[in-house]
Amino acid sequence: MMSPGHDPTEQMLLAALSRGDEAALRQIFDRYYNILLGNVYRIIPDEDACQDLVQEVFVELWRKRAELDIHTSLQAYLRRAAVNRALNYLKTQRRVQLQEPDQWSAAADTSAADIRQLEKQESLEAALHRAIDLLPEKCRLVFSLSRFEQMSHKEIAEQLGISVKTIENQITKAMKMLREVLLHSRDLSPVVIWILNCWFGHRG
Amino acid sequence: MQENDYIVLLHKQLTGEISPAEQLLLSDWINQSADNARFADDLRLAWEKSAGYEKDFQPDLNAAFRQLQARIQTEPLSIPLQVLTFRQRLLRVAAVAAVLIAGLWGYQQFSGAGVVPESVVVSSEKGTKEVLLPDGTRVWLREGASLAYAAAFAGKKRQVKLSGEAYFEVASDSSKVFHVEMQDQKGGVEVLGTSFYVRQNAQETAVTVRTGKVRFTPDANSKSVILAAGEKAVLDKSKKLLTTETVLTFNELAWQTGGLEFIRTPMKQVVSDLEAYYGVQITLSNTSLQYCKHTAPLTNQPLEKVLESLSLTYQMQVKQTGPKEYLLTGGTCQ
Repeated sequence: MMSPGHDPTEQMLLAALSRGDEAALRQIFDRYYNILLGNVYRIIPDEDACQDLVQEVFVELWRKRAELDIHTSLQAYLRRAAVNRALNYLKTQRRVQLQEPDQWSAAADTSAADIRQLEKQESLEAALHRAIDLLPEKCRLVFSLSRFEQMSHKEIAEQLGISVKTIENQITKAMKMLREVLLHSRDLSPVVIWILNCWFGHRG
Repeated sequence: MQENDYIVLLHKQLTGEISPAEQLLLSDWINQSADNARFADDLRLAWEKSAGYEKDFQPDLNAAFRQLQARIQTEPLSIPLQVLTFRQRLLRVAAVAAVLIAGLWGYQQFSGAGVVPESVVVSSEKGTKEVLLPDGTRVWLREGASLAYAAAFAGKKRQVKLSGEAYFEVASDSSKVFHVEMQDQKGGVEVLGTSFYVRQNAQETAVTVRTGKVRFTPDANSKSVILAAGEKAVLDKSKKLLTTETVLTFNELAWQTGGLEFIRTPMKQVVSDLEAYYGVQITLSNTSLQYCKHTAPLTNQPLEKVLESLSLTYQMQVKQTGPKEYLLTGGTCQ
């Protein structure tokens, strides 16, 4: 009935879970709660919403414990469930958030103070991660779905209910941003002006 | 094509969703100049280095898990009834036919001697009535319930028919299944020896298992569910929806046990149990207390005493706002 990868511990945990063993739920929770929070945060940068959504994933796991039919690793299964939940959550929020054309076309409104933080000496990775954090919300969402959830432009467009063209614009914006961070990490010229130019020079 | 279009193509290449035609376009562009090639390399490097992007959460796992436990207890599971496949239905019909045939045979055997088992009907018109069945099973009928059973359980099953609400403590007998038929003659509960509670009305049938295991068949054409101790199934007859949930306390049985008990029960549930048992309305104004876990042994004190001890434990104020209305304000979780 269950084939959760080849991890015997995982199989034992799932078997115990299916018998209604709460200790097994706790172990699975301890293993994956943080990881799933990280996954969902890339889609929805709101800690409370992330905690809420990831908890729902575990509530669902517990509800379905008797008839779980897992063909991947447990982690992959939970991640899939968490991401789907996050996307559904976005759909319920869509009227409020996603369908505001102004927001989609708005240029980066990140303040100069935020950008200045990039000035600190950081590894390229850290600088890139911080830059993703600073992307405008929708831009970051589209980028995350593409980069971390391996969704195609078309899939993202369908999930978010917006055109492929809009997705491509957001991807372009994100990619340019990442490239600028990369260039900056090589070049020690006056940083703030450089980055500010990147942000506000590419509005088209 | 403009730079932005090539960025899109480069991105598609990185994600592997680029088409052969697009790949040709992109290769041409990259080969056009060293700048373009460097641009493409930079983009790839930035993309690759962004892989580890993650937010580092440091949540309190204990607190988070407690929250999860509270949710699990308050969010029951609903599933549509699973309809039997044709083959399963055929098997069930065959089983019924076998019982019928056996029944006919039995009737012919005994009709001459006049040993048709007599049926006994017990009803509880007022209050709770305890009934002792021939096999030692004890049944508590709630007001308005009635139970029909054979004077001697002669067949392969211990068959009874229930209308209304009752609590069963079935005497263990592994050779004879104990079968409770519901008032609408569809489905039923089957056990070997266990205790459980049945509540039914026109809209719902609910079965709560206190000890052991029972097999609950919601209706003639649906799959059975096995309920273990501490599990409850509620069938919504019109929606054909079966909801199962885990119960920690058996306070819906308070009419039989004579009191309420709380075992890490969320305050929300405590309040609704008190309301049902004492027939009052209680408002918990501080919603942050909803998931506080309350534990108290079985007790049958007057409501005022119970509220007083609650208010002491959680530093709440109790106010009677009407003849049967109470308001709880303030307070903190322990």
